[in-house]
Parts: sequence; structure tokens; C-alpha cells
Amino acid sequence: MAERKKVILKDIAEQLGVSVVTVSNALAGRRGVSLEMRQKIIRLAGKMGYESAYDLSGGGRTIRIGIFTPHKESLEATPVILALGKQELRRNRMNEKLVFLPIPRRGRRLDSFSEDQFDGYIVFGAESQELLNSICEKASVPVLSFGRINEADRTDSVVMDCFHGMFQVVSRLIDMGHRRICLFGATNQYGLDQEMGYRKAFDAAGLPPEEDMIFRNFYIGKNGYQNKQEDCMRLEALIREQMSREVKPTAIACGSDGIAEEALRILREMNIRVPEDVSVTGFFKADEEDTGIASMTWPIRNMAKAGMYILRRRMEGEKDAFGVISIQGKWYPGGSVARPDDDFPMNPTIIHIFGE
Amino acid sequence: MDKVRLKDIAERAGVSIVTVSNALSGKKGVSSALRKKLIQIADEMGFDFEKYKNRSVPGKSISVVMPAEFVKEGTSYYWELYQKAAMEISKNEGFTILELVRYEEEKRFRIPRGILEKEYDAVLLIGGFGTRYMKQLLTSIKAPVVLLDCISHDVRTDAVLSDNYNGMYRMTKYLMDAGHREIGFIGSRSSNNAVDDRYFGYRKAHALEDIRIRKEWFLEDRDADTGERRIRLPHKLPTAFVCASDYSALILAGELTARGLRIPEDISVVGYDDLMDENPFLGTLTTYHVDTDRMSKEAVRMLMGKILHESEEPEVRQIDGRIIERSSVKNLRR
Repeated sequence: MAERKKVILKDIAEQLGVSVVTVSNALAGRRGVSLEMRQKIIRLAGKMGYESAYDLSGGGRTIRIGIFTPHKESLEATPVILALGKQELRRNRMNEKLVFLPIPRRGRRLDSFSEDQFDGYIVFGAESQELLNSICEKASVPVLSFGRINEADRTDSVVMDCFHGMFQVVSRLIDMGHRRICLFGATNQYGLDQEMGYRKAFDAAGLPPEEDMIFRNFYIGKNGYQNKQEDCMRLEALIREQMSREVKPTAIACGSDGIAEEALRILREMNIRVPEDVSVTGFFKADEEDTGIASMTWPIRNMAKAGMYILRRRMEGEKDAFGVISIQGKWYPGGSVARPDDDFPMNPTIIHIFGE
Repeated sequence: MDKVRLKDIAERAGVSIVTVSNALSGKKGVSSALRKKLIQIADEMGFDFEKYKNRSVPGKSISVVMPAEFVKEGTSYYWELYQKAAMEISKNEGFTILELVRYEEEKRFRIPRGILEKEYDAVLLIGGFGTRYMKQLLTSIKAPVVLLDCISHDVRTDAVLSDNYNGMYRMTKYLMDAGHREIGFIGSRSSNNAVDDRYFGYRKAHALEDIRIRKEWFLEDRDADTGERRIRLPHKLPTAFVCASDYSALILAGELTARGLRIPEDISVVGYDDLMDENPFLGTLTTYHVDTDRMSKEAVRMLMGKILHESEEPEVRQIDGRIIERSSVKNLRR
């Protein structure tokens, strides 16, 4: 890498026409910066090669962590990681220097990166197995994968538990009296885990799942970000088909808040009321947003806490890999769910497992 | 920045240095609200707890609560968890109070006196109870709690669990990587939630490889009426079985031997748990090691952290184990 002038907060602030305080707050994960601006700032900081220079504890060792951030989710996660990482490290008498290392969009592999200057890496939501592998192969210091399980070996990874997450969502819907619950799961393993959770919920209630209402692999992000057009079209066609059936679903469980938003839009177009006519749930709800959609939260803070703990332990020389650490989210109540209209006889054998 | 001293914290909070010292070292004479506040301030200011602790923190007493039946007979999985947790607590300069809840007490919804009298700093709950009793128990405990190998859906509590779902997924995938396409599952899903999660891990692996699950190869390992441990094998067998526990694998091995089948030449078998046992068959069984070491370590660490720092949001963390390769699987690709 060519030598260049050290980037300071002011440089970032000037380029975006915001105050230095705003930039500082955005990068430190403090509240009071809009999500959009935060993302802009983090993205630019990454591009400009900004190195965080927080040095709060005095004494202790300074740890250099390289953070690979390929896409949007990671940008949302970064400030939280920064904030919680500091806490975890500071409690253990460490300072950190965090350096953002952007991964090219849709990058399949990373062939080279300078690594002698880092003590550890965090890889956020690696888009492909290949990319994660290439980083793990090259790095001689600990690597933590955030959001993606490395199938190839026992790379330390922190992921959300989508299996129990969807189990909880669907169990709640069943508890409310829903029986015909349509599933639109997310992509890849997330969607598969969600399907398994859906099935577990039906099995646990002693009910047969609706085999012709189970779908997955929808790549639909929030606010229309990174939507795959064909997935939106497939979702629309399926919702129209399901809602015109003689025996319609009374609830739609979505694999992401993005899918849920899109479903709400389609239902609105069809003049179907939510939750009066059909209940809708989301998944991966972001921390600070009030979407009004009942959902399963993305446990980003707890994931960050666990992740930084693991990385610290590994940087301190823990030999034994932690493998996959999966963290459960929590139910977020929202106005998009209600008891179904048609009264099913309640199954007396169902134990009420979720109290408020 | 200079090191944070007790004096700095005292000034910031407007109390005496002695009060700060007493609060941080866990001595008496400080209200719990003030203690919490002072710890929080100290934490925010970057106070070095580690160093302070070594000087004067008296040991924390941790009440370990578990169902009595788990410790009744010999060694068991839960007893092992208890031993490891107690060792870990001791390493953290704490001491352990064991509180056993007998089944009769659970049935009558009686909370043990030790819990009500609160002679402890925190509670580690191992193994779990029925849903209602669990709720009652957790609402009775007025101190930090961490659950080890159990979970409550009613009262959100920090918990450390073994990752049954991903673990069994790995085990099944291991067999598939060895060329197996016809894989049976042994275990009673209704017997407990862990087995049910393991079953879905088995299903996940099949869904990923697009292999249909065959009902006739999904076998209970106990008689539904008598509870007797036995497996009724169908006539046509798969090329491999995943078992929901090492114990099920042991029973299966007996049935297979009775049929004149050899492991792994004629049929492959993998277990789950990796229990310490003298049994010679288990010494040859490829299995999934549930990392009880790490689980108890993490649970105790979480608990000690909760005594010091109020946690923002309860965390449910599931710990990975690893595959222990022995000699009960035949590679069909070779």
C-alpha cells in the first residue's frame, strides 16, 4: 500500500459537509446520527482508510483490528461493534485501533491484503463462502466471521439463531390461534434455518405444517436496498395466489423485515387489511428502528459482545477455536399481528409457552 | 489518560473513598443501589477492576440449582456440567452452594428455602425444570441468574446452551461427506427439546443436499409405553445412522450385532455427546463432542460479569462442539 497522509475526522466531515462531532458520533456508535448518514460516514471512512484513534483507558496494549465490510448490514453493525468492542477490550486493559478494509462489492475472493500490521480481523456478513475462505487462508492472525458460518472449517463465527428465532415467531402465531401460516423465508442458510424453525413450531403444537405455504430464498432488503427484482415479483405472485385461495393463510411469516415491508405493500395494493384480514411478521429487526412490524430482533449488540470476547481471547492466545456461536434474538411486538378472524377451536394440548 | 483511582470515582459520585472501596470490593455497609451506581461509574471511567479484585474482593457465593434426579446416580452429563462449573467458580475465587430441587418439590411448586433466604450473590441454574416451575423459580430469585443448558421462554434470562441444531447438522453432513445418502435417525423427539433440535439439524442437512427423509428410518430409542430403552429395526436398513446420544448408539450397536451386522463394515453409526465412559464400544464411536468445558466456563464467566456489571440485554448463547473421529464410519467414496 502506498504511503499516504493520515486521515483525520475533519477530512471526512469536510467531504460530507457535516460537523466533526457528527462524524465522531457516527464512528463511535453513539446515538443521534441517522442511519443513512451513519452509513455514508462509515463508507467514506472505509474508502479514505480512516484509522480510529480512540485511546481511552491509558496503559495496556493496543490491538489493531482490521474490519472487512462488504455491504449494508455490516455498515449498520460496525458502529455497534466499535462501541461494544471498546467496552470488552477496555475491561481487559486493551486499547484498539480499528481499520476499515473495504471488500469490493460482490467480491468472490480476496487475493492479497497486507496483514502483518494487524492482530486480528473481523469479517462482516461475507457475501460468499469463497471470500471468507480466502481471508481465512491468508490470515495468520485470528479471524472472526460475523454473520456467516464458515462451512470449510471451524472458523470462529458469531451468527444469529434463525432456527429458534422463527420457531418463536411461528409458535406465537400458533398460540394466537393461527393455523394457516404462510412462510416466505430469507436466502441461503438463513431461510433454511427459518423453515426448520417453522416446522419445529408446528410439530411442537402437534399440528401439521402447511406444506403448500412454505417458500424461501427471497433476497429482499429494507427500503428497497439491494432487492432482487425477480424475488419481489415472485413474492407478489405468490401472495396474490395465496390470498385468492379458498382457504387463505391467516398469517404471513416473513424471513426479513424487508420481505415483510414488501408483503405489506402488496397486500395494501390488494386492499387486504393488516392485521384484520391477515397478520404479518418480519425478522432481523434492526435495533433502533420502530417499524411497527412484529418481528424477531437481530441481536446485534449481544452478537458484538460475544464476538469481541472471542476475538480478544483468541488474540490472547487461546488455541482452541470457539467455532460457531449462535445468539438468539427476541420477539418484538408490533401492530401487524392479531388473532385470526375465523375461530379455530383452540387445541387444548398446546401449552402456552410465551408469556409477556 | 492517567489510571483511574478510587479518589476519582469518589469525587465524581460525591461519596467518600471508603464507600467506593467498600462498594467495589463487595464489603458490607453500602446499599445495593449505590453499589450498582458506583460500579457503573467505575466501569465508565475505565477503572481497572482486575487489579483491585486481586487485593480484596471476598469470594462470591454462587448457588447452583439443579434437579435432584440429575445427581442421584453415578456420573451423568449434568453432573459433569456441575463439576466443571464448580471448578470454574473456584478459579474465580468464588464458592459454590449446591441446591437440589427434588421432583416432589417441583411438582408442588415449592421453592427451596435457600433460594428464598438469599444467601448467595448469584445463581447458576443447570438442566432446567418444567415451564411453569421454571417461571416461578426465576421470578423468586432476586440476584443475577445464568441458565446452563436450559432456557426459559417466559422470563428472558442469560443462558448458555449447547448448539444441538448445528451440532447434529454437522454430524449428518459428516456422513454425507463420507458418501452416505441413506441415513437413519435414532432418538425420541418427544423425550426432550434437545433431541428435537438435533432432529431438525438432521433434517437441515437433508434439505441442503436435497435428500428425502424416509420415515421408516426415523426410529425411537425407547418403548413409548414402558419407557424401556430399545430400538425396533426395520427390515431394510440405511447405510448409516445418526444417534441423538451415545447411549442410543450403544443400544443400536447391540441390535445391529444381534442381526449379525458389523460396524462400520456393514453399517456406519455416529453418536452425540461424547460422554466419558469406560464402555469399549464408545471408545470406537465417532461422535459429536458437546463442549461442557467451554459451556460451564462461559456460563460462570457470564455470571461473574453480571455480578459486576448490569447487563443491558439478556443473552442466549449457544456453544459449538466438535466432531470426534473414531472408527465407526465407513467412507463409501473410497
